[in-house]
Amino acid sequence: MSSHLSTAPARKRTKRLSWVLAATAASGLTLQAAYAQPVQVLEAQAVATMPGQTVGAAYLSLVSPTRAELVLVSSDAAKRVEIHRMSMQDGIMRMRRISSLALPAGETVRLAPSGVHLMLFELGRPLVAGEHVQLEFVTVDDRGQRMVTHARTPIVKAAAR
Amino acid sequence: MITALSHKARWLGWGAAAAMSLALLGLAVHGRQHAEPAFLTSDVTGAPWATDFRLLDPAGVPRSLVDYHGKVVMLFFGFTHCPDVCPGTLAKMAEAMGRLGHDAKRVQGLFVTLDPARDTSAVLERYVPAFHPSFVGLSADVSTIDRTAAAFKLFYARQPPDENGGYTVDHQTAIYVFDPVGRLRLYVRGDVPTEALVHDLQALL
Repeated sequence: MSSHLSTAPARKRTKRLSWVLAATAASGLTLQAAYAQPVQVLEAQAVATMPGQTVGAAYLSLVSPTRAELVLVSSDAAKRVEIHRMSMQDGIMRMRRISSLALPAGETVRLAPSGVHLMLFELGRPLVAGEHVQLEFVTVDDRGQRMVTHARTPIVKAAAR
Repeated sequence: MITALSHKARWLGWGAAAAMSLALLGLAVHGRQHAEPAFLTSDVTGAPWATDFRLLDPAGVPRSLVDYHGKVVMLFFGFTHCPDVCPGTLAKMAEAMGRLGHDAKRVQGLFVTLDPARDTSAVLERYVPAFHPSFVGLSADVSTIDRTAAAFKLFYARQPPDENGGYTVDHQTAIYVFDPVGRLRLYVRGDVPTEALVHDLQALL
């Protein structure tokens, strides 16, 4: 009887301990997952500028393993990189700057012509097809964790629409 | 057995011939009912707008449609800070020139800036011919550009500048096409493929 009384709290303790262990393991796994699978930058390409053109554009896809937000982009080739949303309605082209871009967990978010894209302002040098620019993406996930992802981005020739 | 087969074959032959002539008749009737339009893009012949312009080329020479008489003119409004649609449209116009081969000599591409403050003559002089050496960039002071856009029924709106002084320009993305005597003929929407543009330019030549 006494043994039973003494084992009950012990069992409870064990249970609590296993919960703590499980939680630690889980959070460890999440952290590990976050570190093992950083935000991916896929198919990034910057468009070669035409002579006289002082702004550039870049297109790519982003995949974040956890829900995150793209809050800042920078480049070695430009003073400022902005996220813009282009829309076409009734033959009218409009571009608006957006301050951040939501990255739902595991979803591929495409930054493409005629949609959300990157604008490179005050280029330090012309963007020449065949060369590369560095792009740096700062994302912040749900837990406020900041992550920086770099992408060496090839420059490609502009295409006719 | 042999005669039966050949009999059957003969009937089959007649059947096929009849079906074919019916099909041909059908095509002919269909063709007559839906005669192929002369143009694949929007025919705006006789429109009371976009009758002419008076703008400056990068050398400061005043230009209007009469300067391009004898040529089919493709005219496009845009700005060089436009990342995608403007260079894409100019590239499409250049691609059309390439496909026209020898006839391209009788076609003139013009780019009118909607952003004269940033698109100076020095910028236009380099930017526009980079797409095709014969293309010319045209500009003027802001009020002339405003009046020209209004005369072309072209919607555009410069957006207020951001904290860095940067701004974008909302605008209609069509190409206006004039015939060799300077009459407005076509309104080519931005989503029209190069093939249709080439087809229509050839029809006007």
